[in-house]
Amino acid sequence: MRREVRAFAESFFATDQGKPDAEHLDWALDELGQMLAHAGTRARFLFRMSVLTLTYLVPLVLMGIPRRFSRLEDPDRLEALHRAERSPAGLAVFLVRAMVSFTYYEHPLGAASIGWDQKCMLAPSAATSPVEAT
Amino acid sequence: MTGEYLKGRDLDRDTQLECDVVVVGSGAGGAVVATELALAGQDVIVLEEGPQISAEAHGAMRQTESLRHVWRESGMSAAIGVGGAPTVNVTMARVLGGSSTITGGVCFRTPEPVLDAWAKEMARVSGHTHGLDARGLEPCFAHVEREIHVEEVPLSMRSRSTELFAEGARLRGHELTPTRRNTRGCNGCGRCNFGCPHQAKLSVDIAYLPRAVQAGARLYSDCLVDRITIEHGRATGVTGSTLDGEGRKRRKLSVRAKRVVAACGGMHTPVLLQASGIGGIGSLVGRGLTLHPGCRVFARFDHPVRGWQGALQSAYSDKLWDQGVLMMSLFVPASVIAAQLPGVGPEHSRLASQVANIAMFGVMVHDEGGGIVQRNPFGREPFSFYRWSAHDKRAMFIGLREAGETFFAAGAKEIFLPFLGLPGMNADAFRKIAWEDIPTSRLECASQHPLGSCRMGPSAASSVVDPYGQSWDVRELYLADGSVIPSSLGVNPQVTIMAMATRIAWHLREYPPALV
Repeated sequence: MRREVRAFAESFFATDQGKPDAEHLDWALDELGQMLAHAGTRARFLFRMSVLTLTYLVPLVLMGIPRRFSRLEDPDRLEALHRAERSPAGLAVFLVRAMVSFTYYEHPLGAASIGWDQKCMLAPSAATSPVEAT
Repeated sequence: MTGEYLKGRDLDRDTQLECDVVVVGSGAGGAVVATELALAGQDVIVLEEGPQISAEAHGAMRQTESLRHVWRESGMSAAIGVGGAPTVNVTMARVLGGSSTITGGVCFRTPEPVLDAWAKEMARVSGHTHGLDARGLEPCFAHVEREIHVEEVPLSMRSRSTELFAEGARLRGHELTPTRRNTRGCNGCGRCNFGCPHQAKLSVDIAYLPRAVQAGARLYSDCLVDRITIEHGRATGVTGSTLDGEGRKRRKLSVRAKRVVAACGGMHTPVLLQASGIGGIGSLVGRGLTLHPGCRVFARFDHPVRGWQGALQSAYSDKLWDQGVLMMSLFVPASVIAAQLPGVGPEHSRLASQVANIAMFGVMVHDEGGGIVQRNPFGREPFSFYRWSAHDKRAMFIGLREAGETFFAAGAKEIFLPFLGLPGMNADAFRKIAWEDIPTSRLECASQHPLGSCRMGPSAASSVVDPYGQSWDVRELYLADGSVIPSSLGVNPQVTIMAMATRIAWHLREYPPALV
């Protein structure tokens, strides 16, 4: 599942400069794994169902391409997610993007990319914000 | 006599305990009952499923670590929408102090029209109100507000996001009202939802439970109660397990008690009852769930807002309260805002890079609809389904429209409504929305207020517990949490839950439990 979620994350967070930093993504996916491990059976099931929907159903049903999401070309991935967001699969896009975003934007690089100093989220004793540290 | 804090994870053998009263759950309801009864000299044990987390530990956690260790299901709990209702993300805590540790601390008394309706129903069926009216509850409200130090949020603590909404509201002819919160020495750092690192939010783990321990109560964290033991129609204790640090079952635990108080919250108290054989076919246990479904409106300005600087929930507007809407200031971490912005790839990234320019305000519905909570035979978390009425849908759309117009009045360039995949829109596009055509199942909806799933009422035919919280079916089983609230409130329920728990505790104080 990690490979598929990584493929979504690469598409979600792609910029005009291309795909996001690989180490940043690794960190975000490791953290996501930790979150899901604590999420309980039902929540994990929901997440997996959402991933499965985006992996197999969206390329096939919305794009007419019988290939799993991670094997699509980059422009097709973006198009598939665009279509999924506006379709009944929108909730799956929302759930997966939300979960990945929590960890992706918590990383110093992610926080910096959206201008978030994270000061409010730091412990009182924290010396510097992650943004300042970058 | 001084009690103690104990961790279930530290108990390395099966454990049997005895006490006068065992309280299941340490949130806004359970902590209050436990404290009041311990102060009255009763031998109290509190069992909490979640861990015990200090203010320092809260402060040391990143938000996703907090989601993992403090929030139930990492924040992914949901009530599935049926009949066109949206699926609602229901956030709850699983920690000593319950959800009071992750609220914004907003304190409202129960609105008078709601109290009047409760009193009227009580009087209609049983001939009197049982003190479940404004006058009867006044001492409970006053007591709770004193204990948790309810104070008004000063204007200086408002975030720029809230200020912008206030400017727009003023231009549209109404003023925001400062919220009242249970704080002392708050510096407005805005991380209330992830546990206050300064002990400035007086959640019940700060304001109540230490006094319970001081008075002799024994508090066990990491203890999951599976069922209530019932003998000859009377509750005689609970059974369950201690949990390890990862929440896995470890050792058996049983508590024999003269009285059982279930206070696991609106989602889990009905589950405990169902697991204990209370609430079969046709029962009202788990029925009537209300959620106060809420949505946010994002507004993009052409200047920095940095809405995360300032108190999380500092002001509200009751302009639409008569129509079932409360508009409340709030802010979520920038990562959550970014997660909710539409689009993917470069389009999404361009929007996300403007998170600092985004203001937000919340819309919460005083819902009429009802939901169901049903025990999940395959896991700990219940199945929950939620339906809402035509009124609820209308109220939500009225609220969203007003919030959008208010932000445009304040100079917003673009509004992002909480519909899955809906792009941002300028004022012209916003005013052309055909609201009636939008499927509400596509709303991004959240709730922090699961209430009413084991309602209090005047008769067994219409409720699960009597006017003092005792189960109609099982003697000496009391419920004292959001599940007993007789109807949707339309305002944040923390003080109502605590006042009701106080009322129940004072009643129990007058009638100490008899021997089993």
